[in-house]
Amino acid sequence: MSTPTPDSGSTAGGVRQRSRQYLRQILDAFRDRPRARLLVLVGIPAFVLLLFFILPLAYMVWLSFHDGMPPASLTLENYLNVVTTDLYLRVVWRTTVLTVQTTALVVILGYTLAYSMARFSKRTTLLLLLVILPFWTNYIVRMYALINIFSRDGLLDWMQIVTGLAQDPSGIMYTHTAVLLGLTYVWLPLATLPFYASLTNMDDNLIEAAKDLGAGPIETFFTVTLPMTKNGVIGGIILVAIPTFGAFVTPTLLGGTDQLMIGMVIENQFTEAFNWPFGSALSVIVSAFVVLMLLVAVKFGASDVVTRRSDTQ
Amino acid sequence: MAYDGNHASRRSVLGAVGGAGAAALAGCLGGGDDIEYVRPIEIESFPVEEYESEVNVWNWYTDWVDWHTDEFQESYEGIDRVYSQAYSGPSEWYSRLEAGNDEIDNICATNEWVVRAMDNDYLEPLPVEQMEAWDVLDPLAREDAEEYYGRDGEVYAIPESIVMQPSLTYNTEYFSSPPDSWGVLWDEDLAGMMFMEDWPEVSCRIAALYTGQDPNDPDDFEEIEEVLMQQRDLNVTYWNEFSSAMEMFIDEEVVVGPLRDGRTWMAQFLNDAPIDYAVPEEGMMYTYDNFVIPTGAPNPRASAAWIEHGGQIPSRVQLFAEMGYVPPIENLEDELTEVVSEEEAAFADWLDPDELIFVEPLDEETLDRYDEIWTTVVAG
Repeated sequence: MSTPTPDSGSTAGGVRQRSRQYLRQILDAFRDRPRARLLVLVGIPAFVLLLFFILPLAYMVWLSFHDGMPPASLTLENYLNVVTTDLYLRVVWRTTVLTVQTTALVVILGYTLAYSMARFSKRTTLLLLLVILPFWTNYIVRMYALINIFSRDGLLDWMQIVTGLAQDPSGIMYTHTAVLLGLTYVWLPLATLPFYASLTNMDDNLIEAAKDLGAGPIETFFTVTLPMTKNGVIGGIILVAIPTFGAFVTPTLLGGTDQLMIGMVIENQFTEAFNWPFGSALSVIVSAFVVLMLLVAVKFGASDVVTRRSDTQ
Repeated sequence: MAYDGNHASRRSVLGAVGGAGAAALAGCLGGGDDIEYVRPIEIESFPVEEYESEVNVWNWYTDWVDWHTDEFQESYEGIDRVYSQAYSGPSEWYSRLEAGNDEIDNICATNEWVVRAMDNDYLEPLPVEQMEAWDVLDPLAREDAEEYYGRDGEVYAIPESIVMQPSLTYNTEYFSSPPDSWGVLWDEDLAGMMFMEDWPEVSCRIAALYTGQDPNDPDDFEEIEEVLMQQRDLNVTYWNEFSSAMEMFIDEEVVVGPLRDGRTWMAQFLNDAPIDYAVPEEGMMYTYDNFVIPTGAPNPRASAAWIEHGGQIPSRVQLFAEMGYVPPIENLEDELTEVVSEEEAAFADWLDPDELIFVEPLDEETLDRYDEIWTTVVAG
């Protein structure tokens, strides 16, 4: 490494100065050309979105109208097959029921958890950490942990015996309950965070005002707290319902002979049956459901959540 | 709907998550050696004299791969790195081949996926005439490979193991004698004590055998659906993950059901579970797991060397000793008793050609029908 000389120092200073000048010229150029600025700021992310989201989605839709892998003839048969076959409608119905059950359970548990953290706890950071903690563990690992808990002679059985709730329990693996609890466990943290955010952003004076006006705790909750945190609740519902509707790993690992969900049928079309067009048609229908959920959410007042604006605005 | 790999242990499935990073790294680093690129078929003799310094292997016989890696590197000086990846389902590696492989050198591929990959030109032909890994094969395995994994005089896969797909596994304490028919899965006295595999091909083929049909080319799909519907409520579950299914036998949650011979062996000899496999009178279906080299493999010579070394008798026998999967070689019993007990070696006695039915790749129509039937059955 050579020792810097006064000349080399002044050269380095000159380079820095020229760099600043170039940068300033570029910024000036952008300032004078709003269209170029827009192109750089919006164009790049829009291009990425187009390339990695819109195009694959469009390909999936295109594929769903074929009767085989392209080049194959165009057809509506895949969609007709879904809507006219009782089997797939039954699977969609079952998926919807499980999604509603899971979402309801998550909302009740998550809201209660968030409410107790926001209102009654001083160790909120620790509790929030505990809520987020499962997300740091791999999804499959969490599923295997649940298998060990739900299995015959597993932790759940042991607890029932110790507490005297049951003498000879046989586990809940391969049941509807196992799938429901598995999905609830997986998505609970995802809903708790928006619930908590909306509760902490709420003005506490409103609760005090309601009490001053003679409302009891329950009336205050239903007339003030819940309406004021509606956007957070709907946001949580969206975050839970959408992935639950497409779930296939949890019902596959925890479910029994009655837990076929639409996500499992789609996965099978792509990995085993190799009927990609039909799998695409089913995927398009699931995607349509997601869009429908978002539209319903916007209509019922979650536009702030959907557009990612704060509750307090 | 086979979510998990046939033979990957729970540990390996979880390990695959971490292994993906190493494999990706191998893809970035692979093929950097300064030697001429040759296609595997152009290799003129074994052992190969010049080879790359690394190889990226996707193989779900994880315990065996660990053992073989050490042996391989000892025999082939200059192989600095063996990247191994345990995949949880064949679609993982297949999607990489579809995307244009430039990282995977060697795959342990199941029967139908070999044919699928071969039909789409994703596999390299192998120089089997030069390879001892080919010469040691049992004639049955060699004939099957030539018939199903051959095109225009070239062979694209060398069987690594011969696998019951599935085994009819049962609890030896519950049954006084081995069940002699697939019909045991329709025995109402065993309701709530059995399971079925959640894979259309396997379950529909079992139903085909039960109804006296050819599982590879059935003529009455309605009957298959009907009997599977009858069988539906007798099951504890439709299992989808091999490790959990084995655990259910070990925990005696089920007493009979379809599994794999390797899993049955592991439960019997590594976990002392009272289970064994039965040979049903309708026949035993079998398939192969195979060594293949994908097109675009960055280290083709090292990959071919991996197959040649892993395909020789000591390595093949070790696969049985480690994981209970049977090597398709001649004089099997004599070879096995060199490394395992006679009782363990006797486990491989199922290879009687009169009772074996090869799981042939299904045509598109049969595959679709099996899938429709199974979706109907599982949807109830």
